[in-house]
Amino acid sequence: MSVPDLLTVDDLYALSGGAQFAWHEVVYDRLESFAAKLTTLRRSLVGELDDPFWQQLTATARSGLWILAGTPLPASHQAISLAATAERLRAMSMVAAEISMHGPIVSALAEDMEAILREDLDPLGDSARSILDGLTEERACLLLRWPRRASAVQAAFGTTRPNGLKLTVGSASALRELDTYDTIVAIGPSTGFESLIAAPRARDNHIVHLRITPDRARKAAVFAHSKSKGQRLQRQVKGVTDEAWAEQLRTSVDGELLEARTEWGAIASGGQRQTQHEDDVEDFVQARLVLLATDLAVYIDAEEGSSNWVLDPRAQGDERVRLEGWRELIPGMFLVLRTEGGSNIAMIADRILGREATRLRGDQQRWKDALRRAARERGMVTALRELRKLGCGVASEQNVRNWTSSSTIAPGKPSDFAAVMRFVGFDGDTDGLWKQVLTIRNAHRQAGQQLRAALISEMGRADLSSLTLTGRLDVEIPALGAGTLSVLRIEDISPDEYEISRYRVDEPFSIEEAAWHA
Amino acid sequence: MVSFSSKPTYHRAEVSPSRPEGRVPSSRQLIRSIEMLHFQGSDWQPLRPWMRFFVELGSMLSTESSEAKRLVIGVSVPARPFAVLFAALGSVLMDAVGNGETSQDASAHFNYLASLPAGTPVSWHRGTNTVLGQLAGTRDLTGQTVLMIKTARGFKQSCSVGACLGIQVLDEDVQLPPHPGKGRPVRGRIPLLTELIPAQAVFSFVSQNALSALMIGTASQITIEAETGFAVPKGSHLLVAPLEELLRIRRTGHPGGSYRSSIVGSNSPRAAKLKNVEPHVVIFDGALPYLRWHASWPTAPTLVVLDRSQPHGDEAAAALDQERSLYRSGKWQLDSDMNIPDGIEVTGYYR
Repeated sequence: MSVPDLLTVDDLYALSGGAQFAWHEVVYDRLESFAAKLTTLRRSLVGELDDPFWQQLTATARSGLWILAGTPLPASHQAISLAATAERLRAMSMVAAEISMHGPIVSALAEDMEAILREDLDPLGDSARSILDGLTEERACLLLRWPRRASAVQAAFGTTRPNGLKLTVGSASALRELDTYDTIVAIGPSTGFESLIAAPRARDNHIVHLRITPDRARKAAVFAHSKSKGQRLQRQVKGVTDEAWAEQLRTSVDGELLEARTEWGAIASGGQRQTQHEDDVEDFVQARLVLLATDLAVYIDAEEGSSNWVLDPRAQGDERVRLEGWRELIPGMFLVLRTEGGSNIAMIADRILGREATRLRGDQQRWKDALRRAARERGMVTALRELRKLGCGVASEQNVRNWTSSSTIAPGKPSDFAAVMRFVGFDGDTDGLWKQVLTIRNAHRQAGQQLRAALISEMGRADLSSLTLTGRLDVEIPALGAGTLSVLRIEDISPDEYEISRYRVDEPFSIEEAAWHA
Repeated sequence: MVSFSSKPTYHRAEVSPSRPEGRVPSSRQLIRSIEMLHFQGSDWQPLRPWMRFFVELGSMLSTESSEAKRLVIGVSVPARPFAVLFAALGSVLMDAVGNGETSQDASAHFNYLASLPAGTPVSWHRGTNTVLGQLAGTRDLTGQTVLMIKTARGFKQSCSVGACLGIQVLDEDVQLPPHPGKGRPVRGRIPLLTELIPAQAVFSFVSQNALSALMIGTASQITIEAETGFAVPKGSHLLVAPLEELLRIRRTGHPGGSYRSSIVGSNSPRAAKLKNVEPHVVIFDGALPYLRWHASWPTAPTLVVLDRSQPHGDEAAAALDQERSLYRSGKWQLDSDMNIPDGIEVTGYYR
C-alpha cells in the first residue's frame, strides 16, 4: 500500500473549499421523443409488464436510452451497438402488432431508434468537446458513469486535445482516488457521480447531461446539523435544471426510466443461471454480490473472517497485493480473481503436498463427512451442545458448517479439533489427524505465499495504466497452474446478502448490460 | 515465552490516575507543540489548517468530556488519509502534557499494584531497559514498604514507591527466565518528544501504558500513514520522527512495550475483544467501522471521520444525526476562536 502524499491530501481540502460547478443541459429531441414513447408504452402496459415479452422489450429500449444518455459518442459508433437494439425493436414491433394493441407505439419506438441511428448525432460529445477545447489548463478528466466504453471514448477524444490539454477518461469510481485535475467533465446527471460535488477532485467541474435527465446541485454536507466554512459546504453552481421544466418532464417521462442504479436482482438471477453446481444443496454461505468492471459480477464470501486478494496499483513491491477482509472492500478497489482454468489455492497446495495429497485429502474428507452426517442426524442444536460438552469452546452453527466444508481446513485449536473428533467417534485417530491438519495448513500457507509472490512479480512487469481505463488486467501464471487471474475493479457492492452455494463464491460470471443496467 | 491471554485486560494496565480529576490540561502547551510541528511537502512546512484542526479536535475530546458528559464529534472530509492520526495525536499529546507524574500518582499506583495477586504479569521499565516479571507481594525493608517483583525463577527484586510508575500490568502471560537478565531496551525516548511535551512528563510518557486514543478503521492504511515523518526545528537542524513514534502506537508482538495509542482493523477479531477496554478517546476512520463498532464504547468520547468520496457516509451520518437528536440537551458548540478549515464539515453533541 502506498503512503498518500500529505500535499495531495492538502490539495483535496483546498479544492473542497473552492470548487466550481457548471451544469450544461443538452437537448436531444429524438431521444426525448423515444423516452416519452417508452413511458407511454409502460403506462399502458399496466398488469402486463411482468410478461417476459414486454419485459424484454422495455429492457432493450431502456438500455438503449441509458447508453445514449451517458455516452459521448455518435449513435452509430460500434462501441454503442445500437444497430442491434434498433433491429431487435423492429422485430419485436412486428410481434407486438400481432399479439397486442400496443403494436403502433412499439413501431414508433423502433422508428425513433432507427432515426437516432440515421441522424448519428453526438450531442453529449459535442458539448464535452466544446468545454474541453475552450480550456486553458493542462489536465482534465472526462468522467463516465460506467467504465464499459471508456476505451472507446478515450480513443474518440484522444489523450491530448488540439489545445494541448492532457485528457484522461475514467469512470465514476475514479473519484475515490486521490488524483486531482484542473477540470473534470462528467457525462450524465450528478446522481451517477456520488462524490463529484461532495468531495471534488478538480477546481472546475462541468456536468454535461441531457435535458431528459434533469439534474440539480446535490448537497455536499452529509450531516443534518453541521457547521463548515461558508454555508454548509455550499458550492458555486450555475446552470442547474429549471425546476419548472423538471416538473413538466415528469408528466411525460417516467423518472424511474432515468435513474442510474444497479439492478441487483437481475444480476443475481443471471448468476444463478450460469453457475449452477451439483452440490448446491449442501453447503451454503452468506455472500455479497459484487459488480465488476467489464460486465462481470462475482459472489464473495461474507462470513466472519473471510477475505479476498486485492491489488493496490499505487503501492510498490510486496505491498501491491494483500488480503483484505470483505467488509473493507469498497468500489474502486481491485479484486484478484481466477477467471479462466487453473487452480485455486487448495489445488496449488495439493501440488506442494505431492503424492501425500490424495491420502491427506481423503482422510480430511472422511472426518468432514462424518461431522456433516452427525450434525444432520442429531440436529444442529444437539450437535452444538454435545460439542461444547466435549470441550469445543468455539462450537457454533457457522463454525460447524465451515468445518464440514472442503474450502476450510479444520478448527484452529487442537483442543477444539479433539472435541470434534470425539463427537464423530474418531477419538483414536485424533493425534494423527491433527498432524495431517497441520501439514495441509502449512501447504495452504505456502500456496498462498507462492501465488502472492507470483502475482507481485507479474504486476511488476505489467502495464497497470490500463487498469484505470478499463478496470481489468489479465495475468497468466503458468508456473503455478493458476490459469488466468484477473485484476478487476469493483464498481458496486450489493447492500444485501445472499445465501448461495459455497462453490459459487469467487467464480466471476458475465452479465448482460441490458439485464441490469437501469 | 510470552503468550496472549484469552481475555484482554489491558485497561488494567493503564496507570489509573492518567486523567485525574481537578488537573487542568495545558492547552497552551499543546498549541505550542502543534505550532512547532512540520510536515514534509516540497520542503518542511508548518502544519496546514486542517491538520491542526484535527489535532485540536482530538485534544478537545479529552478536555471537554467528563464522567457525566462525553463529547461525540462527527466530521466529514474530502479524503480520509491522516485525519484520524492527527486527531489521535491531539488526544495523546493532551494526555501527556496534562499529566506530569506526581508523588500522589506514584503512591496510588503503588497501592494498586500491591493489591494485585502474586503472579500478575508485569513489565518494569528501569532506566533504559524493560524487564518482564511477576508481582510477588510487598515487604518492609528498612522501614519502607517496597514492592517485590519476580524477574527470574527463584529471583525477586524490590521496587520503591518512587520508582513504581515504571511498572505496568500486562495482558499477556510471562514465562520467567532461569536467570535474571538486563531486559530489553525501552522503546526509544526520541529527541523530538522532549520538544513537544514537558520534560517532567517524558518519562511517564515513554514508560507507562495508556490508551489515549483507539483508532478503528482499515489498519493497513492507518499504519502506513503513521510511518510518515514529522519534524520540529531545533536551532539550525531538524528533529525528525515518524508519527507512529509520537503516538507510541501499540505494537502487536512486542509484549511489555509501552504504548499510548492503538490501531485496530475494523474487520480484525481484535476489535471484538477490545470491548472491555476503556480508551480515553475512540476515533473511527470511516463509515463502516463506525456503523459496526460504535456501540462498543458508549462511555468514551468519540470522533467519527467520514470521507465524502466513500460509500456509506450517508448511513453513518444518519446514525450520528439520530443519536444527536436523542441528546437534545447535550448541545455542543465549536469554540468561537476555532476556524473550520476548507472542506471540513463538523457536527457534535454530548451524550
